[in-house]
Amino acid sequence: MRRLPAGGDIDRSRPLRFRYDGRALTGFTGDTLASALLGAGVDVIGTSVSLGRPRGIISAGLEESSGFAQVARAGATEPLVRMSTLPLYAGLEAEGGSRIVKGYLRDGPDDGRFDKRFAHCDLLVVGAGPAGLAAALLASRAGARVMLVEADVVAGGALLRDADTVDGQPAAAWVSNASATLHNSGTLVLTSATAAVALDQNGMIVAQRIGANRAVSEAGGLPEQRLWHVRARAIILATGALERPIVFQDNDRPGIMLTGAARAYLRRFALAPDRGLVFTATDDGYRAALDWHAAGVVVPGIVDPRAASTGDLPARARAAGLRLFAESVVEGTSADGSGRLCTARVRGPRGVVEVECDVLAVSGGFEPTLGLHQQLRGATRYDARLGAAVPATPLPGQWIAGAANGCMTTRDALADGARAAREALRSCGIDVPGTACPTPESPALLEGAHEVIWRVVAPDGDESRSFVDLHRDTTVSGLVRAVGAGIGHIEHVKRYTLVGTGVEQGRSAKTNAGAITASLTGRPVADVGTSGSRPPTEPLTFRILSGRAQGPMYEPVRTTALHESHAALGAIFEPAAQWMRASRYPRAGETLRETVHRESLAVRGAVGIVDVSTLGKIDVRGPDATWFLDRLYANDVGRVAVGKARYSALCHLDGSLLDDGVVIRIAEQRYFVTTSTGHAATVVEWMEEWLQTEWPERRVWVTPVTERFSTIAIAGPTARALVARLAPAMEVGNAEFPFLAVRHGTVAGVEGAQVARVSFSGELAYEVSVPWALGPIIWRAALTQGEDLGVTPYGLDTLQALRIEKGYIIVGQDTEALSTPYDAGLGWMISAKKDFVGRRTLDRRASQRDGRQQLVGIAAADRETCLVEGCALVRAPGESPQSIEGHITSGCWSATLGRHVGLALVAGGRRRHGETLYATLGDSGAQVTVVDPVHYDAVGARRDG
Amino acid sequence: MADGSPLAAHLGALISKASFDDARLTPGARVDLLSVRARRSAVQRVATALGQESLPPPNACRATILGDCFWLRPDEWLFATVPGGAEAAMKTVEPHLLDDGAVIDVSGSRIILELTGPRTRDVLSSCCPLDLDPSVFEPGRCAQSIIGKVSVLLHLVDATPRWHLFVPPSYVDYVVRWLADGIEGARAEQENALATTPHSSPVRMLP
Repeated sequence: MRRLPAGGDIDRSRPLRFRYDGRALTGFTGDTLASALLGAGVDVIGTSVSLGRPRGIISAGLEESSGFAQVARAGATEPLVRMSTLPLYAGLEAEGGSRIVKGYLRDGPDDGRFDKRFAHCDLLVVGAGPAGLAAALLASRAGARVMLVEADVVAGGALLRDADTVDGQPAAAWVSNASATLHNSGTLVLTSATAAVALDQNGMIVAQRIGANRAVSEAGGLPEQRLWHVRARAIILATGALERPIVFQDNDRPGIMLTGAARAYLRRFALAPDRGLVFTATDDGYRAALDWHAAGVVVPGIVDPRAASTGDLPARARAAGLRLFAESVVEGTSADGSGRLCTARVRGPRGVVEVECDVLAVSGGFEPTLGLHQQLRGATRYDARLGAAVPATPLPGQWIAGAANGCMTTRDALADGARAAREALRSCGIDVPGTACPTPESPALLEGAHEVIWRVVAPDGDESRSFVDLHRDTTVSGLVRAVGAGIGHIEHVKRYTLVGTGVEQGRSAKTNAGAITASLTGRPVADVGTSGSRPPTEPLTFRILSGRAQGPMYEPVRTTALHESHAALGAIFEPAAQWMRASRYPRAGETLRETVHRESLAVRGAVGIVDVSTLGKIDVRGPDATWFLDRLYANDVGRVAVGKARYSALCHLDGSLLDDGVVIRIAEQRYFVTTSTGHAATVVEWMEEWLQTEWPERRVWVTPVTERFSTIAIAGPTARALVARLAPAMEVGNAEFPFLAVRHGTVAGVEGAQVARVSFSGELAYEVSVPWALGPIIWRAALTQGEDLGVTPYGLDTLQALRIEKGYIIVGQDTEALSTPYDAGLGWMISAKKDFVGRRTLDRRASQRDGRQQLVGIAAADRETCLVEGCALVRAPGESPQSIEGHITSGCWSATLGRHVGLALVAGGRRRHGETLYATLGDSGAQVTVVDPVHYDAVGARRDG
Repeated sequence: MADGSPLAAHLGALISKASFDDARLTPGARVDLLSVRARRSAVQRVATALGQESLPPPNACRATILGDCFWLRPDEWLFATVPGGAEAAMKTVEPHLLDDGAVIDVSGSRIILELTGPRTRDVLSSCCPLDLDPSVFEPGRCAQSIIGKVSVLLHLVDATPRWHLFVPPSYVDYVVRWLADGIEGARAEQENALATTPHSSPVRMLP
């Protein structure tokens, strides 16, 4: 093709330099990459995916099956960008070559901005062709909130290539007026925006190219691409129709394109061939010949398989003196040395003629684009006149309009768009009288009868060069092989031949594939149908799906009020549930083990402080609170006195452990319940579920207060001395403030602090809870006032080591999904006097039988062996088959005991203390001894200091 | 948490860097918070005691003598009262609940972020799925929704628009990052004159 000296919607005063496959080329502002390449004389854009045949551009829009490029962006690369809808920008760098339909990704991060936008509207119109524009105009005039999305670079659709007039104006002028009217009325018009995924309840995912269609330097901080989540009260699918190619021998040569594309390149981009031949089965194809002729292009003829058509367009062609090859077909082509089309073989009633041409425009007719309708299983039926599927009935809340609805002329499409808008608005309660909003008009056109033609049988019988799907290099021979292998179902044909499996889902190949399969198997076309359309209609990159949810915006990271205090002490953090917790506070030069060693010995020998604000906290109150907690917790929490606490556990209905925690009775009808960090939300939901579904009449109110309080545990033999300094007015002696007692008072100047004598280390410990933001006051005061006592901040690693030494479990870590309180060594807490959730299952003998996986302690035989969580425990290392007795649930270096100890679940473990097992570590396994879970201070002497 | 701001220093820097005239994020006023739980029988007593005809209906906020009152769920309302006012407010409400409800001091369990400016709907629609169009979400409305993945209570204070987001303190870092990022995006859109939201025609041409 060559650029005409004038015309087109391009700005010749603003040339743009770009590179394609390393070649420096020039196009104009207003070009697409495809038109710029054609204008620069690049007809051969690359080679096909498996046969390596030269290929060119075949369309000017969404039908494209050949023209895909790899586009370089700052520090990244975008694969499989459709050339016909990529606006040219200064400095664009694209690759085609042999990779035109493959694409690749680069290692490393993509720093481009991709974001998301939620949008709501009364009416979403998909497609801004004649029907979509008519619908959107009417709806916005009626005052509705309207969104109009268009996949192409500009609105207008078929109006941009057709010479029709609308309301007496040239179509292109009408389109720009309509766009301006829409914009001014608040309608959001998105271009380069593909409705990719249709969701239930009128949801639509739309992928829009914004910065990606501009030079990086001109993107101005805009996102490369944006994913819209649209929710509309009504949707109009005005997705138009795609032109269908015709399959014949060597139909893939660069220079062969669709008639609509030929017209679009002429009208929008002033690109024309030297000699343009037309091969069409419908009147519409004549437009290409007429337009070329009017532009001074030599048109050697129009090949039409029909007998002379009676329509207006063929009549105009005859009047213009164009040569008509009636009852003729193109049966093959030949190419020059570079692969470009140079002649077409036309077979007619009087034999075969070779016709010289550099462009052959082909039209097998137009077929509705129904991908979005089909994604939601919308029904279609075969229309014999169009030779394609048309919508049977639209889905609830949706309307299909224009060419997508089978209205193929501009006049019909405009009217159908307005009709759909009226109906859609009525469903939203907006009535639009016909007089108030006239339907745009376009002159009527008389059409001749259609003839549906899919394939021209190759005269020499070789159909290995008759391409059905250019993207996948699927030929008629491939379909013949599939049918020969006994495959008949079109979905199976698709998988066997790969027809329609390309990035464009074989949009312009599927009807031909179905019809040719039908003729090969002797079945009606309607019975074979086409392969389905699945979401997304266009490939979406993972980048656009993830959007801004990257790094710190990916998963919420919760921090306690003490976070900065920990950081100031050089803490190393680790994630625990969504929380970021301090795992340890290493001193310069310390190894992990040395830090845990030092911190552990400080707690066992002096005093340590730890931030336990992440523990779940729940306020439970009301006249029935005692009854309620008694029903849920395994032990007699109802008998806890005011000012006292009790360690207890919750079971699922099946008797398995849900969580454990401390229940504190603050007042007669008021409790403060703690949960483990990871179960805070679960326990609240569990309580609400019972209250809302089973016991709604009970007067109990459950309120999560985790973030109301910061909690710091002060633990160790000198903890009492430190708490006495922090809370001088509080009686902290063992007699006045015994284990499991709770007091309220002033701590470090903070009034109303709650102090509870509970311990997760086995040491004398006080848990101090104060309002969330005041946590740092307590922390700082403890560090300052405890300096001479050797106060040491300790982290999660040491907290773990201390609780493992004491055999304190973490539900979910030291238990399995089916572990009962009996299995976890908590059988002592199960009340014999009352009923509670899970009790009936626990009372079954099976829940208490001997061989169950039971909690035990394990001790490594030597100082070196780390006990790794999750490691299997076997009877003998060499045994085959291995009999797995259990697994390690927790392991740590015990500074206090000078060796590695752990907890494990072992079959019948409670009766196996003293037995030797082997952890599957290393080649020979590591020897461990099964012991009591309580490794340290079995009598609990240290609890009271 | 320097200078009495409830935000960590790095977040303060983040939002002051991102904010511009048309979308500004700042820490909101400090408040004490009360959760009032009331069965049907107690709702009217509490409303009367506060000089109101009723407590706010679903997804609404009303000003009361105890400060703003937000509907949270069929039997729960949240009161945002002056700092240090929780105890007095509890004493006002508690006697009217009898055994049909409870009032719980939840001060500090959410902090307020304030987002103001004409571009804030764009900011919020980058991370919050609600329809915030003025025709649907008018001043005085509140709703519980998400910012990114985190639940927040969103309140439209006035038509500026001025929004208050009640965010659990542990999630503030995450929420502020999302909002600051949304503000950056909105600023780029403004600078590039990019249309972003569909809204109803300013002049309805039909009855």
